[in-house]
Amino acid sequence: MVSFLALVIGILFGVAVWAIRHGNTLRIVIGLSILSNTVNLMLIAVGFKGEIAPIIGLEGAPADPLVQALILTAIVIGFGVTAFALVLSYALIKEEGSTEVDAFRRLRG
Amino acid sequence: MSLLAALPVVGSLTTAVLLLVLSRWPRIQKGLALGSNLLLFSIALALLVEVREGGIQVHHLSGWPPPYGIILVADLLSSTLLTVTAGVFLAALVYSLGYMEKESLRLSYLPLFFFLMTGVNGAFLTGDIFNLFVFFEVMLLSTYGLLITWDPKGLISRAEKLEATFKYLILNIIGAAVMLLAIGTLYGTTGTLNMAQLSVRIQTLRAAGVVHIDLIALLFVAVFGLKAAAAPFHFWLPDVYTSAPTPVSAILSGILNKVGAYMMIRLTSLLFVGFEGVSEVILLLGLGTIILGGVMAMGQSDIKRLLAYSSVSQMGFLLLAIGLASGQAIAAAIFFLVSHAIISSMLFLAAGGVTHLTRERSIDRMGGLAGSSPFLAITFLIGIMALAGLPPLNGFISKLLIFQAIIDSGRLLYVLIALIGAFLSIVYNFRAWLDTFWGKTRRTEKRSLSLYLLLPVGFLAAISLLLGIFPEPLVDLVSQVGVQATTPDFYVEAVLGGVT
Repeated sequence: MVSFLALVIGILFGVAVWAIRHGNTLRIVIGLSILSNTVNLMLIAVGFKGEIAPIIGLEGAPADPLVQALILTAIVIGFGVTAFALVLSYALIKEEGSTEVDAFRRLRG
Repeated sequence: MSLLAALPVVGSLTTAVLLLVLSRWPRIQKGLALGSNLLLFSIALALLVEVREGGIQVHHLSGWPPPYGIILVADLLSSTLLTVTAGVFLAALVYSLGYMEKESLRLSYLPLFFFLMTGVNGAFLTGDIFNLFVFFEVMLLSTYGLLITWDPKGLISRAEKLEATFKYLILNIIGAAVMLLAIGTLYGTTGTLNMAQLSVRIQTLRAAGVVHIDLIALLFVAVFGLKAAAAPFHFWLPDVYTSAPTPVSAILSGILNKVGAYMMIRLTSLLFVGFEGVSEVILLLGLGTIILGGVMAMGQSDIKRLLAYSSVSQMGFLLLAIGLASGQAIAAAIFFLVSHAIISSMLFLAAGGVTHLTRERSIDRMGGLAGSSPFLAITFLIGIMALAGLPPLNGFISKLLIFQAIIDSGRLLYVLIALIGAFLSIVYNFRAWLDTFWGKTRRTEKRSLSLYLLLPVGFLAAISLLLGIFPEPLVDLVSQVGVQATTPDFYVEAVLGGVT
């Protein structure tokens, strides 16, 4: 199960990096969203010590409940940030008249 | 258990919510914002006195004892920084009341301002590494909102603002992912999120020969390096500082990149004590940052961009002192941190005054302002002299302490590189001042600055001068901070009290 998770995490991470490297504003936002969910999956893998719910009285090795609380928090934060990123990229696309980041040339770094 | 340690977070959060509710009554809203910022400043001072006399204060949120619950820990380091934060925020708030447009001030700016303060105060106080992540996100989300607030003077185009914010957003989402990855790996390795317990367990695991802890430490260095704008991660900073509204750039350079530096101090002196490789990486980042920021600042003509690169370069000195990680070096770092927070925010506010008067951002097209606004000329001069490290200002003492720490550690090559950086900072700072205030008068427009804009600049300049002439109280304080911050036992004992 853990090696299956590792495989999924690897593939998703690759997809996220590919999408972010692409120069399209919306694709970057989608890539970032996938990236934050990949990290959440990684946290699940950290807490995956057994398949039993962590309730006193159940037999067997329980899954770690703390990481699940962490993931809930991280999902909420990721949702908020993604919503803001979408609104910002919409405003940016309307302002610049292009969806490609190569067209945004006002900043020099 | 101490309630005082929770007040900076709870107070600013309550204020932010109340300001949202009160947005239909702008006068009451402004009064509340000012009053509660003053209150928060006095709370931070009271906390500092309490910590100095009564030792480290710990607050258990909802009464859950560590290591199970989340805790807020106020030691000397965090309470010093809380005081500076409240002071700089107060100056920026007064400035914003005179500078920002009324509508955006009422609807979004003031509440976001206090949400930002909640995030910063929380990041300084928390004793739980995941909670730190949450406070970072509170801080960043409010910063995004403040960054895109429209600049009333119309000097910065909307497109420029959106581009800079988008860049900052992307980088920080990636940074958050890396930070979560590091926290997850650390939790998987040690089985705890409590910073005191982490400190103990990391030492045990390292003694047992677990090698990948070094890699986790480097992940954290990358994340906090991004926040502190260390050399390879600095490229977002000039764009963001230049396009932000003036009081927001003052807070960004005065406080927000100090949060990254603060966490670097915690890394080298609490979590990953004695990791020479990590300290060496921070030292190298610091050297690179000093030189790169200095050289880039030489070539700038936009006044805010020049100040932004100079603040990059100054962060390098701070990282250099943090990388040395001795008690003396950390004390020097904290002195530097406090004085740079005051100086750089003052300079950004003064530069905002200059652009307001001239309607111009490029220093090549300015000149002769000393005649028409002597107050700005004098305060700006105080600022750049402090930044360049000339006596009798606090910047001189902070640079002196840092050089002393590097010389005592016996790294003479580093002293040489830092000296080059300090020399560069004298050149570009004085170029900025001379081009702006000296020489031929370019424009003679009858515009004046309101008291809202002058008061904070004067306040910060006076503190800078005062700390330069009477540095002893602050030097005493920072040497205590240095001793306490570099002895993890104090922190661990106060938090866990025997439980490990």
